Amino acid sequence: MYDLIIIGGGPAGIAAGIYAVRFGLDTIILERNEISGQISMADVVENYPGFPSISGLELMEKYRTHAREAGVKTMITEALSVRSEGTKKIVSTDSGDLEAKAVIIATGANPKHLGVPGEKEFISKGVSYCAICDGPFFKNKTVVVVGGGNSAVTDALFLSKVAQKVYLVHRRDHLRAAKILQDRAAATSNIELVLNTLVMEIAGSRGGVKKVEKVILQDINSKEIRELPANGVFIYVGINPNTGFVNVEKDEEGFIRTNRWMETSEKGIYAAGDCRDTPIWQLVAAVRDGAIAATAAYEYIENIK
Amino acid sequence: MVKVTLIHASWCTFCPAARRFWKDLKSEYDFEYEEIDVESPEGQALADKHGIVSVPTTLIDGEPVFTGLPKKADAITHITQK
Repeated sequence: MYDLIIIGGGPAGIAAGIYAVRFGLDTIILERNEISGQISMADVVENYPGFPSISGLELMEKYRTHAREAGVKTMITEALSVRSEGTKKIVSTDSGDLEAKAVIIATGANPKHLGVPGEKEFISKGVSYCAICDGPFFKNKTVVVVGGGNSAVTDALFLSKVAQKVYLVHRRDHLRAAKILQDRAAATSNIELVLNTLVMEIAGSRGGVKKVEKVILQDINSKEIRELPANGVFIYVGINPNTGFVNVEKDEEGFIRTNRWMETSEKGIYAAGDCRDTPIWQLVAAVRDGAIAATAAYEYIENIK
Repeated sequence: MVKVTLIHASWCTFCPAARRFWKDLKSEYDFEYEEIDVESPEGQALADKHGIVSVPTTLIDGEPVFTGLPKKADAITHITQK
């Protein structure tokens, strides 16, 4: 039996792992695959202290190296459920059951879908949620970025270096992204803001090779409908937590509710990072959550000895 | 025998992990395996034929089946289907 199982190897899980091994806990991180964390998909991270500018993947590699050198063990396996038997926690995985005294859920989140006709049909056929993964396919083409937050604007800036034209479509009358990003977008000649506008449909060719050809937009104020020719659509409209496998108290969107010690409604089960109901889903907050959860888990394990 | 073709790219974040994934699986299961750079003429031809605009993409017996990193259980199901 492990002292602590951490489910998820993104920034929250890694931070929790480093803290846990330093407390002397026999700890293992379960990762669904070897590239964890939404941050791996970030072209550039500029708001994490100590790293003025670093790619998400490079930062994640640094985390993993740090964890490995600190003595954190990892296993590639998918957690299917978590249950308590007395003070023992049992994590069922696709490689069998694992036991621990405490569990930290740090499974993060996935990009939320826009939920419009054509989106699902054209995923990987022009609809994407990751510009650094798929952006280079749109060299000298026209793309639409949907959203107004940091991710949308950061990836619009990345795409502006590849695509001929980037339309940044947002439903509100202003962007939510950090001012520095908004200023960069405004200064980029091939990014055009399309505000107060909803994406109603993503359309394209269905016979033969499927591909996106246009988006149908609606102006929120005038209700006018128009078509915008586009080869790719990159969607950044929020996140969905990966929490379906665990039965603890969650909010209406599935984010796990915790107190300030990252304790969930189930004793000995903690949550950290983007899977948690938190005011900001940011790298720096995920790392903080991981440290707190590991500290709380250590106290808990000490008390049940 | 099932043939697995991994379409990858030099700039692709998840491709190194996908290559390791399929190579590890090949050490456990018997299937044909090849890797094709999407920027090579052969890769470009496959991308055009199947409308591939996302990597890594895995073809099973010539048809696109997985985009991104597959789940191991799903991959095993496909390579043991014959």
